[in-house]
Amino acid sequence: MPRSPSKRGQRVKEDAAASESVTKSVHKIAFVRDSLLSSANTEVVRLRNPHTDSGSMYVVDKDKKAVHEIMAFDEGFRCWFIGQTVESHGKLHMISPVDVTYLILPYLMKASRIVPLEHLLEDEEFPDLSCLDCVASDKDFSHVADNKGTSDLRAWKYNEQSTLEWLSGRVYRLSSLLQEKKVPTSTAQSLTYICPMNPEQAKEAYTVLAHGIISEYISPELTTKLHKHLKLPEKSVKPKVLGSAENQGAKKQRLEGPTDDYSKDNMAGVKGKAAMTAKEKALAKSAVGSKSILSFFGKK
Amino acid sequence: MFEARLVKGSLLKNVLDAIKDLLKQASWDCADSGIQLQAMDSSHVSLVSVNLKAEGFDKYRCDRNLIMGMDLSSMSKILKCAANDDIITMKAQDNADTVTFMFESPNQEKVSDYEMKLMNLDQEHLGIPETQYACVVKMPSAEFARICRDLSNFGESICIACTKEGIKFYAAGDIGTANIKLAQTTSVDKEDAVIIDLQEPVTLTFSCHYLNMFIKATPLSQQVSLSMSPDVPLVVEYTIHDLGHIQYFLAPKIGENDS
Repeated sequence: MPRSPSKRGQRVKEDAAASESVTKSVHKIAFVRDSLLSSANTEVVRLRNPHTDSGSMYVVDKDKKAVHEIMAFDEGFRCWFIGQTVESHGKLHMISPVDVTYLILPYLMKASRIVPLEHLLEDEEFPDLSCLDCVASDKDFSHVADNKGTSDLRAWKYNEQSTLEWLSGRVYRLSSLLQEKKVPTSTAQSLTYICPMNPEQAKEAYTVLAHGIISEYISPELTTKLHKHLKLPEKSVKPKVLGSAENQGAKKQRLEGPTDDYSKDNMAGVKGKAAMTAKEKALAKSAVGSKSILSFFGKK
Repeated sequence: MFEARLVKGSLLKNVLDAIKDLLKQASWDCADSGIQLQAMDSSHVSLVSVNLKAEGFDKYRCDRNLIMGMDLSSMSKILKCAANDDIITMKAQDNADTVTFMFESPNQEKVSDYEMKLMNLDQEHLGIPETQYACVVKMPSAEFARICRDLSNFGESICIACTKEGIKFYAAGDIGTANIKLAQTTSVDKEDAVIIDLQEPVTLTFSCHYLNMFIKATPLSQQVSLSMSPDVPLVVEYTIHDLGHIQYFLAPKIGENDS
């Protein structure tokens, strides 16, 4: 999840066409910004994902000239209650703004000649790309490309150096934000557990995390370049591979689910009884025949 | 920051001895005015209320109200490590999850520190209504302890009947019956006097076992006060000199008053 959905959660009904896969469900649950809902001229489009190079869904707000990405959070076994009905489609969608630069960057990188932006934004596979033109038309891309020709021509030439500079700026900004919000850098499943680290280590860990988040918006090759540019430590792939091979058995077992059945009441009952000492038993016995003190003294 | 220093540390040891058998866990409410504890036993028949005034301590500081949930048997284990003439200091930081007990020997040659984990106890606080009791008996605590112990040999419950003439304790069981009558003494000033303040005669029956728990507070005070009214809990109160008091509330037994 690249951005936390700090916006007010809202239930929206999207067109069935908006979904990637055709499902029977009618409702979809999504977090949407208020401003996006109030906007009249929005369109859900399918664009090339800069990271995976395949199609992803985006919302283009033509009024406010902004692009929003749709993230789906799917836990598999999950349903929603909507009013009195159960919605079997349990995905949670998050719609959050995304910098249009990320979407245009792959095209800038691929461009063999310098062409004006409107010619650049043409993709046979994703015809909706032209929608981005209205968002990108006023934007200045000097942070990733050099302006060629006159400014009204809006022709850009990709510049790797400035792109990397810009991306590292993003990474540092994100890492300082992550650090400020105390987002856990490890996979430990506890928010309250804070792994003791010296400031230098912590800074690096946060930079790695931020780099990981940013890399979801750029192509894999650019990711490696950015990794080198940031002088981050080499990823230790080895233990991961080893660990996954060795732990597969254990993991599988864990995936089978809990073996203890807590739905049965008797567990607690047995425990409670066992905890009673002889003294307490005697006390409980002698209490028989007396009224409860609660019948005299009310709760405050 | 919370800090309470008690030069006469044995008092705190005695307080804990007086409650630890009845209560497994309890919360100490620390405020500017002092430390309070209120808890029911596991069977919800009796209620213990401890009040230790801030003035009673040799040094008392409580910046913010603090609720310290403690396992009383653990606390008792720690306090057993203190000698009777040790100075005991209880310390805790605001929002801390531990409490520190410091024991200093009178000549300051030995200082021991014990840290104990606090617990999060979900205990409701009960409101005890102001009651005008039909009879209030003050008697030597040792005498009361002796009577409770003696009568527990006879039966599971003790019937306490209070009249103008005196107070009568009665128990019956397999081996026979026991009757102890204490008359009001004429000299009122002495601590070993039996003083009866009576509005109307009262007869109530209580569980012997519980009364035997209450008399564990005997070392705290020379005198004990028993307050009774028909169909309300008995109050057994021990005053801790200059420090506060311990009150035990015990619900009467049902249907045995007439016997």
